[in-house]
Amino acid sequence: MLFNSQFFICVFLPVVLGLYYAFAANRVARQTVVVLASLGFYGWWDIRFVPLLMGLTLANWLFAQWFGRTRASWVPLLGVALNLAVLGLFKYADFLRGTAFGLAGSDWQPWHLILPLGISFFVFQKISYLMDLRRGDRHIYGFLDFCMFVSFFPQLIAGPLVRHNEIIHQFREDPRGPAMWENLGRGFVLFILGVAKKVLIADTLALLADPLFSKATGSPLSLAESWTAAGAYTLQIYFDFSGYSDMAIGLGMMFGLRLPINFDAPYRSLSVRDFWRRWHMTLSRFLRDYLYIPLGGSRCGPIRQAVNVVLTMLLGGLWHGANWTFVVWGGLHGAALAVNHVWEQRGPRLPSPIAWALTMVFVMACWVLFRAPDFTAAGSVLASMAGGHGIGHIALDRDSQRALVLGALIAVAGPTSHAFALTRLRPSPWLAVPSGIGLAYLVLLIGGRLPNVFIYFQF
Amino acid sequence: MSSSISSSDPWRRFFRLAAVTAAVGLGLVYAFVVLVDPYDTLPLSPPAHRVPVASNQRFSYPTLARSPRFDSALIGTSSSRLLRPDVLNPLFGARFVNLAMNDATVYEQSQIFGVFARAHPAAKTLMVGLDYRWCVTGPDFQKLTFRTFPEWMYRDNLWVGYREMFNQYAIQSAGQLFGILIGMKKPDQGLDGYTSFVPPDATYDAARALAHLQDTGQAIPVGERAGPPTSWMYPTMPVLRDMLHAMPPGSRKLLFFIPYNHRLLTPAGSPGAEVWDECRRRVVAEAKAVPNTLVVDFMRLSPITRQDENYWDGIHYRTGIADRLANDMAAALRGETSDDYRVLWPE
Repeated sequence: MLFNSQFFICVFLPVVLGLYYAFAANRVARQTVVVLASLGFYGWWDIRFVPLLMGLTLANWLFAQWFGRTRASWVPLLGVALNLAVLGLFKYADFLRGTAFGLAGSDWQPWHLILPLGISFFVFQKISYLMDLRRGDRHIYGFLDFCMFVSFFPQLIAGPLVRHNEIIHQFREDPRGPAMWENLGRGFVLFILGVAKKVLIADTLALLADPLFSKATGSPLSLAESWTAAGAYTLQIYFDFSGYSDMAIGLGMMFGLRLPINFDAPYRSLSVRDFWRRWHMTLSRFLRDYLYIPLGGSRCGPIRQAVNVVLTMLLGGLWHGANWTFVVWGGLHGAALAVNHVWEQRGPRLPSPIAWALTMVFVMACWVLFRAPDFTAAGSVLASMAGGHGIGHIALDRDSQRALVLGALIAVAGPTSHAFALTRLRPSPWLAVPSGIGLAYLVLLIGGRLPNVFIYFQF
Repeated sequence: MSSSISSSDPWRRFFRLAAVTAAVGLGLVYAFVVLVDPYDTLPLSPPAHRVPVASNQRFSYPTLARSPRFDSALIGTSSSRLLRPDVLNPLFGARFVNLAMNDATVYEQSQIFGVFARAHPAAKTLMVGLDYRWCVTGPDFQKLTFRTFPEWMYRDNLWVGYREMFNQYAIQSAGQLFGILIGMKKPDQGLDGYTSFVPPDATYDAARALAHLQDTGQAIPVGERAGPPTSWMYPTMPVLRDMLHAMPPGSRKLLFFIPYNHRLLTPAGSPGAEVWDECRRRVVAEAKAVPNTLVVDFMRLSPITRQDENYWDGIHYRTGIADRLANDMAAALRGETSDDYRVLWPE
């Protein structure tokens, strides 16, 4: 089930929210409602994977209990190994086998295992908890708390990557506290903003970017087409992912729970380092705390630090998908972070417009690699962006033009959705009614857009 | 963020107002759409003189296909849409509905035919316009296009339609139909499925049409092909077979290859011509197995296809040619010959 689906918005959410507040006085009851709803939410996609989700949850909880009793430092490592093995099996088995067989020059048949939705997120969440235990964290939770922590449906599929110590303590609080209506109001608006970002901008831009990237696999794009493709995808991925995060955070608020912010206007960054402080922030801090710092972080010499950051980002790239394009994408960002670090220490300070432009060109070029199905297609688009295949032209329909302009303005100059919903929003009826109308409009848009009428232009 | 009780009061009003606005707004829109029933498919819609309004024929034709006003159907793509039931009816002594849809895949054509066949167990005539979609080769064929195909409309249980009315297209269509029902808008689609999608013939611009024609190349069906033509797979033939067998005994089945402009025709003996020729043989083989089936080939060099002025573009002929095709098919059924066509079956 997607947040931006009619069933979720019109049926699932009102019912679950209603039950949650109906049982709010009883902690066990309200948490049980959330856990059962989360399993239903997950099973809606494919019920066969509910046992995997629950089995992994139970196993991790047992590891935590075991560690709580023995304090043996290898117990969490065993749990981490189990999580990585599950992730490796479902997500990377064919990738690794393909690479190995390819190097050996042998034929092979992929297993085509179905990738359980959100596995990269909930596995990392469990790993972070086990590693925290190993580092001295003393929190050993009850099963219901742990279950709700890892299965809480707003963040189950695509984050934010919430840590145990920033959410489980909130489960104690009765959601009907003094801030209940404010949480509901602000969460409602943030959810609507997230749906709008996803449906109005990201999905519209996908209709522009997808055919261009598809075309690039067969024939080279012109300069105009390639920059349009890169620009459209740059905005699409931001509005898609940050929109989903907004929906998750908004939903969390409606249940009286605060989830961490995940995006903070990343396309206003003046450096790659700045970008990674603003883009998918909960992943960045995970990579920092559980990879980069254990590798030595910045506590060693500059060369080792550069190696650490590149290695961290290579693995971060691999986390995004089982394809070498993701690995290289991560590696490029790692290299850029290393260069960025050296430049900050030794290079001249660039004027902000130049720093911003350089950062954006780099980020956009890397998104091409991230989006393209293979290196050949990515190389072709990048060559086109460099003018290698002529200037050309591209005709954009009105929806695409609007989405591009609106998306760019919001991404670069507008207030962030969380700043608007969580700080600036006032409880005025003049905002409540448009919010309701906006949600109604979006629900209808989700049901199906008006098709581009097939017109015989040639006549 | 405030946490005092006094500050929560305006938030309570805010949340309730926003939620109620959304719920009431959605409820009103939904009620409007299901009452208007833009596709004339919902079981409980109030009686009204509904007409087709959906610009995508995949939405408007299932109701026409079920209508008892007709006993004969024309299936095909936009190349067959210009054949007028008003012209066909007296020629064939039938009551035709034109169910040809823009760029319809064979799957979509078979689905609309299925609706018609189930609703008309005593159907008189089936006409199928055959073009490149019917002659693709390989193990499979394209099922759908980028146009939405509402599968639910093609099934017998139309109650599911109540969950398909919550989208912008249904609202737009409901608005259009409501405008027609209250007399504010004139219908622009025929009640028998026929709607001319080309400009008025009086505005025909031969030079402009020629420019489009000169942009077109030979039409060769796509697909995998290896070995001799007799070994190729034509995956649409079982669909055609099922359609022919679904017609009642004694009914007429008329299959016709549409008249592409000569620029799209493949030269005799060329690899492209082999694909079409083998396709013709396969179609004839299917026709031979079902009584009262006629196969007429307009896809050949003829007085129709040689003349560029007969076309708007390579696959869309002018209105006068559509009427001529109808008369030609009636003549072919009577056993007459013409330079316009060749009867492939019966030989």
